[in-house]
Amino acid sequence: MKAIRSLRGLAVPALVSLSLFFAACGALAQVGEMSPRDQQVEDELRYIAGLQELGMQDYANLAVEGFRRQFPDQVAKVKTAELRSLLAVGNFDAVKALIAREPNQQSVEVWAMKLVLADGYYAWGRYGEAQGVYDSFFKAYPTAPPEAINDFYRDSAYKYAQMLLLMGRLDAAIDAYRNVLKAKIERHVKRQIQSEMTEIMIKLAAKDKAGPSALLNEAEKNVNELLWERDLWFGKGIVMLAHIRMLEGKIDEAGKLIEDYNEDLKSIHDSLVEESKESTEDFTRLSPLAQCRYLLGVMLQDEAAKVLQAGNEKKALEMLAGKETGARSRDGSPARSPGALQHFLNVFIRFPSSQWAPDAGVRAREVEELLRNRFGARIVTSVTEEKMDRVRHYAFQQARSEFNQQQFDKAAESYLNVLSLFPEGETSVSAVGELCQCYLELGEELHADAVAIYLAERFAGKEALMTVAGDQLLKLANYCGDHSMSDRRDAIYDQFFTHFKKHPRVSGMLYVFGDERYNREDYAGALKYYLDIRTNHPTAPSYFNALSKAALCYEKMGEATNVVTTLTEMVKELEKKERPGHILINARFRLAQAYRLLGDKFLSTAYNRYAELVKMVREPRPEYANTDEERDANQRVLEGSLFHSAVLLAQMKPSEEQIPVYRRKAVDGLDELVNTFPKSQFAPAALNRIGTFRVLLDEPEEARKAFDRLRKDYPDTEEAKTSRFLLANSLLQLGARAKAVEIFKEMFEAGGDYTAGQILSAGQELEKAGELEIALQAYERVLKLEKKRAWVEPALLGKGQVLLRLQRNKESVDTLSDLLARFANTGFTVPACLALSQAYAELAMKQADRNERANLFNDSIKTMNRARLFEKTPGGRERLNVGVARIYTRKATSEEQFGARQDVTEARGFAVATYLMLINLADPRDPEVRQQIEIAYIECLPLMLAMEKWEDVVTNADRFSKLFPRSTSLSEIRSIRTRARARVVTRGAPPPAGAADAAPAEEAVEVQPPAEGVSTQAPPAEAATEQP
Amino acid sequence: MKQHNRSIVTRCMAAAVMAGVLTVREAAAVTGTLVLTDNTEIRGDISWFASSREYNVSSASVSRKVPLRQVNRVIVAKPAQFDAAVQDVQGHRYAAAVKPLEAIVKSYEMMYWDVMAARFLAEAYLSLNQAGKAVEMSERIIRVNQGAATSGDLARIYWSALQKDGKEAKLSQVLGEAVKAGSREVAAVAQLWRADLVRAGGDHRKALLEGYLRTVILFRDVREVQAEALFKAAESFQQLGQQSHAEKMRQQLLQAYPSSPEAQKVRGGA
Repeated sequence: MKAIRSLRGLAVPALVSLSLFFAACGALAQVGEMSPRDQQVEDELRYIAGLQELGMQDYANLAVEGFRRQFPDQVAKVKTAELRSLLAVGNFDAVKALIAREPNQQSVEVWAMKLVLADGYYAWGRYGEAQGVYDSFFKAYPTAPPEAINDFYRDSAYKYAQMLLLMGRLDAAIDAYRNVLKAKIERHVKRQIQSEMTEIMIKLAAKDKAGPSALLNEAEKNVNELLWERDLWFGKGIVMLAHIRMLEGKIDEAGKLIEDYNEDLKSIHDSLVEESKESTEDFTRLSPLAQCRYLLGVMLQDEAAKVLQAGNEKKALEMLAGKETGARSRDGSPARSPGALQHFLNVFIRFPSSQWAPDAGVRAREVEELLRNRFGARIVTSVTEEKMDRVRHYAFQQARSEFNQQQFDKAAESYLNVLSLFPEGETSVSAVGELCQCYLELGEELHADAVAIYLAERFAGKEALMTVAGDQLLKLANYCGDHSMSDRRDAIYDQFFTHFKKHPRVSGMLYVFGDERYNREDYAGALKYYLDIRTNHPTAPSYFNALSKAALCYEKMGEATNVVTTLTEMVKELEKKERPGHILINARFRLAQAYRLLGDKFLSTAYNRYAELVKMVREPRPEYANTDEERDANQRVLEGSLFHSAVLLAQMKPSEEQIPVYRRKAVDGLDELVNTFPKSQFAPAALNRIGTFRVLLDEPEEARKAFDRLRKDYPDTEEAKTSRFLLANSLLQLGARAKAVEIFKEMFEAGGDYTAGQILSAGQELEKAGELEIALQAYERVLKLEKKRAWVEPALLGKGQVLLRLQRNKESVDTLSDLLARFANTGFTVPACLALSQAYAELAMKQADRNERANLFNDSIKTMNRARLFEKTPGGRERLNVGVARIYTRKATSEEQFGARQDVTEARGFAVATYLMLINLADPRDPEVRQQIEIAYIECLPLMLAMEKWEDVVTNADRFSKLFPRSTSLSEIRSIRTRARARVVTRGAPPPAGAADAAPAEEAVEVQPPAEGVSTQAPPAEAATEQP
Repeated sequence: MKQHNRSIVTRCMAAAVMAGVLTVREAAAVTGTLVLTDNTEIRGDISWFASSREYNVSSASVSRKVPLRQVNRVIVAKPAQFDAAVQDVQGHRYAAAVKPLEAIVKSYEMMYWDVMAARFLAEAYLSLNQAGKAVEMSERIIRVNQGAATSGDLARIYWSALQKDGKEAKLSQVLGEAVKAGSREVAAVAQLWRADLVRAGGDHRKALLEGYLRTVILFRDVREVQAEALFKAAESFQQLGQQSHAEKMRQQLLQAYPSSPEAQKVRGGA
C-alpha cells in the first residue's frame, strides 16, 4: 500500500497524459528539498507559463519583466520565458533571430533556448523541424547533461519520445527514453521510464517476424530490474515478462508465470482498489491483473487458432472456452476453467477503465462467434445492465481521451473498436461525430464523408437519438466551416436538411441558410431553403417570413406568377389567424403589386386588391395592427394603395368613351390621397399624375394648378424639379406619345430653362422606354450645350448606344470610337466597348469582302478585350467572355452566309473554346458568374451539337442539369442532349440534316489564306495575355 | 424464430390438414397467446382483423378485442405443414411447397408464421420464375406488417424478387428504408445491395460512401458481411485509383477473414 501511495501521480502521466507527467515532475520537485528562493523562482515561472498557456501574452510579458528584475541571475530562464511568449503566437522567425544573436551557440543557455524552440515546433505540429533540433541537441550531449540543463534535458527527452511515438517511430522513441534515463531523475520516475521503454521494446520485438531479438534481451534485463521492488512497476514487470515468454513461443511458461505471481498481482490490484475508494480517480485502470488476463486471453486465442488449423477441435475448444473441471455450474452445465473467452470478458467487464478493455471486448465477440458457429456452443453471461453501462462509459472515455489529445489515428481506431461493441446509443452518436472529425483531421475525406452520411441516414429516424445526432451533424458542419472546407460543410448541411426534418433546429437553420444565400443574391439557392420551410415546417416561427422571402426570391428571379402564388398562399394562411397584424396587410399589398407587374391582363385584379386594402385599413382595426408601428405601417399601405389604384385606373384600357370616366376617377382618388395625407411620400407623385391626367382630360387650367401646387408645396422633390419631364414621361406611359414628344421637344429646344443634366436624364429615360429617335435628340442637345467631360462622356455613350439600336452602325462606331479616343480612361469604357464591339460585329456581318470582314470581327474582339482590362468584377469579366464567344458565333454565322466553310469551323471552335473556358474555370458560387456560366452552357451546347461533339454535348448537358436544375432552358438542353445521345448510340450513322456545315476539312472547299488579324490561336490565350 | 415459444404453447392449431390442402378460412382463429406491452398474457383462439388492426381473443365464452399497438408479440404453435413445406423448398421441390405455404400465409396473418412462410414462399416463387408473384405476396405482407420490410426473414428474399422482377426504383427505395430503419444486420446487407446497384452504374465513390466503406468501418459488429464489404471496397478503391486504400482493405480481409471465399479470391489474384 505504501508503495502504491508513493507512486500515485506517477502512474497517471505515464499511461495517460504527458502534461500530467510534467505536472507530476513539478509536484515531485516541490516535495524535494528546495530553497525558498528556488521555490519562488519555480512559482514565478509556473505563473508565467500559465499566462502564456491562456494566451494572455501581454500579461505574460509583464510577468517576465518582473521576473527579470527580481531574479537578475536567472538569465537563461528569462530568455526561455521570452521565447515561449513568442512561440505561443507562432513567431518562430523572431525566436530563431534571438537565438542566432547569442554569441556562443554551444553554450548551455543557448541549448536551453533551442530546446524551447523545438518544444514550440512540437506544439505547433511541426514535427520535422522539432526533430532536427532535438537530434542535434542529443548529439551535442551524448552522455549525461550538465546540471544546469538537467530538467530541460529530461523533459525534452521525454517530450521527444512522445513525439516519436506519435509519429510511429518506436525505435527512435526507445533511444529518446534512453536519453531520459541519462538525466538525473528520481528513482520512482526512473522505474516508470524503464517500464514505459520496456513496453515499447516488447511491442517492437513483437513486430519482428525474424523471432526473438537483442531488443527482447534488453527488455528482459529491464524487467528484471523492475522486479527488484514490490510496487506497481513490479506488476507491470511480471506482465511484460510473460509477454516476452509468449514472444519466445513459451506459452506454457508465460501462463505459469502469471499463475505463480497471481497473488502478488492481486495484492497490487487490491491496493489500487483501496486507493480508488479514497480518491475521485479510478486507479484500477492501472491494474496489472487486467493486462495479465488480457495477455492470457490473447495467448489462448492465438494458440487455439493454430490448433484448430491443425484439426484439433477439442483442444481449441478447451483453449477458447476452458477445460471441463468435472464440477457443475449453477445452471447444471459442466463447469469450465477460464478460457480465452472468460479472460476477455473478465477484462472487459471487471476492468472497463483499463486500456485493454475495448480490445478485450472485440476479441470476446470474435471468440463467442467462433464458439457458436464452429462448436454450436450456448454462451451464458451474467452481465448486468449496470455493469454494461460502466463498461460503455469507460470504453468511450478512452477513445475520447485520445481524441482530446489529438491523437486522431489512435482515436479513430479506438472509436471503431468501441462502436463495434456499442454501435447505436446516445454516446455512440457523439462518438460517430468525433470519428468523422478524426478522419477529417487525418485527411481521410472519403472515410469522413461515409461517416457523416451514416450519421444522418441511420440516426435521423430514431426518435430518441434524432436530436443528438442532428446536433452532431451540425457540429461537424461548423467544424468544416471553421477549417475552410466550405463544400463539405454545405454537403453536411444538405444531409442535415434532407434527413432531419423533425430536428428542433432545422427550420431556424433553413431560414438562416436561405438568408445567407439571399444576401449573396443567390436567389435560386435561397429559394430552396425557404420552400423547404414552406413544405415541411408549416408551424415553424419562421414560416411566414420564409414565405415572404420566397416571394421576394421569385420577384428577383422575374417569376411573377410564382410571386403571386406564394403571396396568395401567405395571405390565405395569415387570414386564418385571429390577429395577424400588419404582416397580412403587407402581404396583401405585395400581392396587389405582384398582380400589377403581371401585365395589362391583370390590371383590374391588381386594382381590386388595392381597393380591398383601402377598405381594410381605411379605419384602423386592431386585428391588423398589434403595435403603433404596425398602425403607421398600415397607413403607409393605405397611401400606397390609394395611389396605385388611381394610377391603375388610368392605365386600364376601357372603351373609348369610358377612358375619361376612368381618368376622372383616378384624379378623384389621387385628390383624396393628397388632401387626406399631404405628407405622404406619394403626394408629390400624385400631384404630378393629377397634372398629367388633367392635361389628358383637356383641363389645362386644372393641370397647371396641380403642377403649381407640386412646385409650391414640394419644391425639393424630384417630381417638382422635373415635373415637365415627368409629365412627358407619364404621357408616354399612358400611350399619349404625340403629346409627350411635343413636351420633350420643347425641353430640348434651345433657350429652354432645362439644364444639360435634366436633358441627359430625359434622354436616358427615353432610351429606356425605347423612344430612340427622341433620345438621340436629347443626347445631341446635351453635346451642343455642354463641353464639360461630365456631360459629354455619358451623352456620347448614350448617342453611340442609341445609334447602334437604330442600326446606324457606322455612326455608332464613329461616336463610340470618338468617346474612347478622347477619354482614354473613361469610367464608361466597359459599356462603350461593349456597344462598340457590337457595332463592329454588325458592320462585319454585312461585309462581303473576306479580309475586311475579318478585320471588323477582329476589331470587335479587340474592343471586347479592351473592356476586360477595365472590368474588375468576376461576373463582369465573365460577361465579357460571353461577349467574345458571341462574336465568334456571329462570325461563324456570317462566314456561313458568305460560304466560307473552313472559317465557319474555325470560328465555331473558338466560340466553343471560349465558352468552355468559362464553364470549366469560373466559380459558380458567385451568383453573377453563375449566371454567365448558365448562359455559356445554353449558347455553347448548340454549337457543340453542330460540330458533332456528341459525347461533349452529353457530358456538358448532364453537368448543366445538375448545376442548374431550375433553369428555364432545361427542357431545351435536354432536347439537345437527347439528340446527341442518339448519335452517341448510333455512332457511325450519317450526320443529321443541317450538320453539313461541320463537314470534315478534307471535303472540297475553296482554300483561302487565313484572314489577317483573326487570331488562329485559341481565344483564351489571347484574352489571358491582355490581363491588366 | 425468437417469437416462437414451445414451452408456452401447448397445442397446435385446430386447422385441418387433408392431403396437403389446408382448409382454414381467412381470419380463422388460431390457438395461442398474446403477450401485451405490459407483459400480461392472454390465451385463447386468436383472430386478426385487418380493417380495424386488432386481434380478437376468445376463451370459453369470453371474447376480447386487443388493438395491435397494445400487443408485444403473438405466440402460436408452428403450423403442422410448415416443416414439410420448408423441406420441399430446401429440396428444390418448389411447386409442391407453394400451396401449403400460401395457406399458412393466409391463415396466420399477423401471427408470426405468415412472415416465416412468406420468406420460403417467395423463394419458391422465385425459383419457379414467378418473381412478380413473389413481389406481390411480399408487399401484401408488408402492407399489413410494415416491420416485415426490414426484418431479416422476408426482406432479403423480397429484395431478390424486386431485382428479378426488374423493379429497380422500388428496390432502391426499399433498400434505403432498410438501411435507415432495419436491424443492424439487415441494414448492413441492404447497404451492400445498394452499393452494388450504384456500382453497376459506375459510381464507385458513391458505392463506397453509401455501402462498402460504410460497412467496413461502421458495421464491424456485423461480421458476416465484412469479408464481402472489404473485398468490394478494395475493388472500388482500385477503380478510383486509390491503390493504398485498396491494399489496406485486402490486407484487412486476409488478416481478419482468412478462410472467407473473398480472401481466397484475393489470394488467387482478384
